[in-house]
Amino acid sequence: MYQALLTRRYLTRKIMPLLASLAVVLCTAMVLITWSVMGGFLRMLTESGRSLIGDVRIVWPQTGFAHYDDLIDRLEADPMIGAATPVIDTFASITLPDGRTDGVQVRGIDGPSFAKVTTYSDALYWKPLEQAVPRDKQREDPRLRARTRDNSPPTWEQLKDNGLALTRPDFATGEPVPAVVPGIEVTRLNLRETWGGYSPLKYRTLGADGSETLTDEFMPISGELTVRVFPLDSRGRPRESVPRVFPIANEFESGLYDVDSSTVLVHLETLQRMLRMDEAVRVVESVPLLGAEADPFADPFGGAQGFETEPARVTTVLVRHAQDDGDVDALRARCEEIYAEFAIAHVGEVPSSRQISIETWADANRTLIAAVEKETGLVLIVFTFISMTAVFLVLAIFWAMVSEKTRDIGILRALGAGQSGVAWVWVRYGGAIGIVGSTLGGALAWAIVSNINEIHDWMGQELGLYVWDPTVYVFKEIPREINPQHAAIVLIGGVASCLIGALIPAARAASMDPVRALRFE
Amino acid sequence: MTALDAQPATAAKPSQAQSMVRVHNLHKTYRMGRVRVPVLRGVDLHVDRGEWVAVLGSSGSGKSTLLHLIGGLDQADSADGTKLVVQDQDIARKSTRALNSYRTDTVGLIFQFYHLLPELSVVENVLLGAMIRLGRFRFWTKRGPLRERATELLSEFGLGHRLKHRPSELSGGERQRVAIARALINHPPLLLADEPTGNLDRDTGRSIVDAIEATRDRLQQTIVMVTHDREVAARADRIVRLTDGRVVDETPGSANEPKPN
Repeated sequence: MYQALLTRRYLTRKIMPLLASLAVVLCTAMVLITWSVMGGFLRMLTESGRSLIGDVRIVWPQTGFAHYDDLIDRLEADPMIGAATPVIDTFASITLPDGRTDGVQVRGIDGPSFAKVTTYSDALYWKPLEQAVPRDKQREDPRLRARTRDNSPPTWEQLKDNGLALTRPDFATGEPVPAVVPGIEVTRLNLRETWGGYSPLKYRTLGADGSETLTDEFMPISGELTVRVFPLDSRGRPRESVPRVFPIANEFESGLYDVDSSTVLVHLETLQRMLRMDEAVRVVESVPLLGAEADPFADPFGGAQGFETEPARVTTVLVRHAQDDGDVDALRARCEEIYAEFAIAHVGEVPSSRQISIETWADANRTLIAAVEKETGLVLIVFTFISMTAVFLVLAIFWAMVSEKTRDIGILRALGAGQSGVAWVWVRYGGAIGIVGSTLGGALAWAIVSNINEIHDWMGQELGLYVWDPTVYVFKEIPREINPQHAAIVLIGGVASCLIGALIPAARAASMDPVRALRFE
Repeated sequence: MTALDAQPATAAKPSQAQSMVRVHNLHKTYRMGRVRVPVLRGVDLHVDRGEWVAVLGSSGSGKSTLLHLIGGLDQADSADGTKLVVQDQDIARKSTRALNSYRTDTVGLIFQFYHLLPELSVVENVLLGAMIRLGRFRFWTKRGPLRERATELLSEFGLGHRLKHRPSELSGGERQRVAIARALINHPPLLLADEPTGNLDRDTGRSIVDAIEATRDRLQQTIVMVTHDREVAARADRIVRLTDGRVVDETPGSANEPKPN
């Protein structure tokens, strides 16, 4: 009983416990804020990584596999699977409107079905926007305007439709022609603004006479890209590169810089034709014999020749779970079963179920996710070590308080209080400081994390301090995620730290000789 | 019936011996670094139940050490024939836990410097002994009557209007009265007072001794009071003089003299 009374009185009538509580508040808040921001960062990163992958992907790279329509039919017939879409992933070089050439990943997609499996529709950047992005206080985002440019068509809605269909109306005929949708950072002709969005940039082109021309062009209306692909035949042998100029239909933003800066989406059938992965009757040449190759007089077409119908191929089939939060591991297992049946039905024409790669979105992004997870863990360890100072701070403060309260300890012992009873006063006291500090720290962290972007904006405006520069980071806002489990761990850790810090002073108080304690001055 | 008349926690049974404190060949040596300082060198003392004994001696004579040993705050040295018996309990052989119970049940301690806890109010300081003795649950169930008793004790010492004050808001005499009330809250049969007037002016000191004497008269408690004030010592039943750790003289005090009507 007296322990509770003394704990309450020591807690409310001394400055030192307030300081100790404050230290616990700050340490708790620091760890929680770090965990929330890093956790939010990880969540946004994984969601971004998932945005253009779907839940599970079935991959046979480079040469691709045939009869994918049958595979998709089989997949979509399963109740666990919401949708599936064919995709070709390959590498290409592109020539940008300002003359630069770059290497990119080209992804052939069927817009409508791709949008069913992924969040492609949301990822399309140039589209109607009713509400400004959170940091765009001045409503500078061009997408908020009624018209795309100069009060002339197309509308934002039309640009979005163009992006979904991967087509753009031809200037002369008005007929839709195959187009590309590059990542928002691919052309480098969009300026990332401080409010987190993009504005189109003017760019310089070099004329034949060496003169520079400043061009003010909006890519989804008049921009063009030259895409040069390097096809392989069904046996993986390289063919001649195939260039083609594409109008730009739209641009996309996945949230992953690597994807947004190096991926160009192309209409699937067009890419299939460029890569000779479409269905076609082709002359099949046998591989020349080694002996014949060595003979300079041998007929180079001396091998067996014939005609063969090659079915269309894709490198990847993306699959989405029927439920938004469905178990992707179970989905992968189901896809493996369906693919095994499919492989038996087309034995010899498609990779076997042992060869094919079937992986979840998390497997596909494991390098990225693992890196951020490790980074989060590392930062947490560092901050936890820093927070361990709270233990020593409580220890130091309690040591000083035990010294200051030596006579009180002597009085308690003289009145018959046992050693454990006296120790319990200080352990309770440490626990009370931990509970008060951790609770207030949790509340402080919650308040800061809930308003972290507003606080950050204020710091930027008033102090010129931008820690999270939207022109550098892909995310428009500082990510955050308040996880109750994490909060519970940190709060319990805060209380435990204080209890640990109080143990040694408590033991010291308990072991005091009452006579010496009473004589203490 | 007043709070002071309430039954003691360890009331003496008629069959028990009249002896309250029996001390024989008591030794205590302190170690000051490498130097051993003998403080008590074979003290013999006998205090009857209900007797008031004043231990008189100069500074360093060992009188406070003797009181601490009787109060179970310290352990005597082992020596041949050493005895420290209080109310038929051999204090020297008690465990630490048993000594804690002994201090809560048998002994009431009053100190020169009052030793009140500054964070607690007057009434909380008085109740502290009961809290320690009874523990959380038993104190909680008896908190009403105990608070009443504490209030009555303080009222009888003239502090009924100071219940919620802090010790820092009281005078020296008032603090010592609070300390006496605290010592009485558990009805101890033995009151040990270490220089209770040593930090007070003469008049206040006299009033404190009056309060202790009134308590003793009502409860028939045994009192061992350490003092260097001859006037205070003279009011006891018996005066024991301690010099260099030995009892050198015992004389009757004025309390044995018939009181004027």
